[in-house]
Amino acid sequence: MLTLTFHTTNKDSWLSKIMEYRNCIQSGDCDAVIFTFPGIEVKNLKPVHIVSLACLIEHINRFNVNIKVDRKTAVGDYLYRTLKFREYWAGGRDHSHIEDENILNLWRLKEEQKELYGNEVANYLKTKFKSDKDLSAVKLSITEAFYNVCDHADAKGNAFSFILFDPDKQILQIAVCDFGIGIGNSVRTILPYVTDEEALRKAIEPKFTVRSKVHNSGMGLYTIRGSSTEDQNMLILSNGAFLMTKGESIRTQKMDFEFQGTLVYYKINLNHYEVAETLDILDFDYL
Amino acid sequence: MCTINIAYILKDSDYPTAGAKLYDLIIAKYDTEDSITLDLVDVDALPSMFLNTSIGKLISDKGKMALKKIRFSNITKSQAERIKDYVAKVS
Repeated sequence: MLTLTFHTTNKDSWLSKIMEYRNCIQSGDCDAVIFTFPGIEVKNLKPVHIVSLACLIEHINRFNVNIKVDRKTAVGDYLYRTLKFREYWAGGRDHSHIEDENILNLWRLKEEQKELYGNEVANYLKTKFKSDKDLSAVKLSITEAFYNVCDHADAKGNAFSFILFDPDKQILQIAVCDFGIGIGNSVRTILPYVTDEEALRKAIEPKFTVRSKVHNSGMGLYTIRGSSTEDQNMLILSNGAFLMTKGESIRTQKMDFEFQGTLVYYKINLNHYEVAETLDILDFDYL
Repeated sequence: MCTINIAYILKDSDYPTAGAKLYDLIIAKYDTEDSITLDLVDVDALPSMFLNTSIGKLISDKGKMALKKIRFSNITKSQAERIKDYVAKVS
């Protein structure tokens, strides 16, 4: 049995480990693995960790490797008991509802369910907040993110989303991860010489599209960025680079490891949203 | 003048398909109607793949001035801002 150990929740270290283990298991040579998380506290586990781990488990599971989590570690027990990870791989479920109302649990992203999840998020917000605020931007961003994966990632079904709500700060943390071809490789299908950093910058430009599907026009990531409220970061990590936005600022950086897929992580501060207001008419006389 | 209920179009279709249906309905009425009202009652999100195949395609095919015949009713403030931003970006 191979032991896959995570010692830290530092994002770079964690994601680098995810890729190291992904590359380590590329066939059914190994018959069993156990995930262990010594010294990691559950409170430090964020959506980024959950979705990337889910993609790794899905990757390993496809080689018919027996997968266990070390339930003696706090994180292992949390994944098993609270997040019901077992139900996804042993039980074949795409989503398991859990009691913690601050978590919208892991969702397996499937082509035929990409709109269902947006509705689920809208219902979750409606039920949880019972407020008259206009939170449609959240559903909008999730729907855009899911279409983005389905249209461009070529992830072959290995993609997950997870949402965590911080009730004190009123912030939703949303992560979507896939083990597809990555944004850099996708952009290079039409711009062969761009670097991964340049590709990420292109990807968030409005109207830039690789036009994987006829309905693409390059407004997806731009819309997600618009949903990420001004005081919060949006992170996109793909292939050999990451991009971070905060307000108007955009920063990209090369990474010292290759992330074979895409991870999108953003936060939405619900304090920023106003009470829903309906207008009588919008016309285009101003054009 | 005619009114198209967007929630009805979205009911049984995915967003790109619903957008394409809306485009076809607009085109069918475009030359005979003075104005076409798109009723957004019970519609929350307007994702880009819906706008691309409807309003975006109309702009692409007929130019943005074609929107002068289009009006949205029962539209929220955030939807209005989104549509204005979308039109500005794709035009």
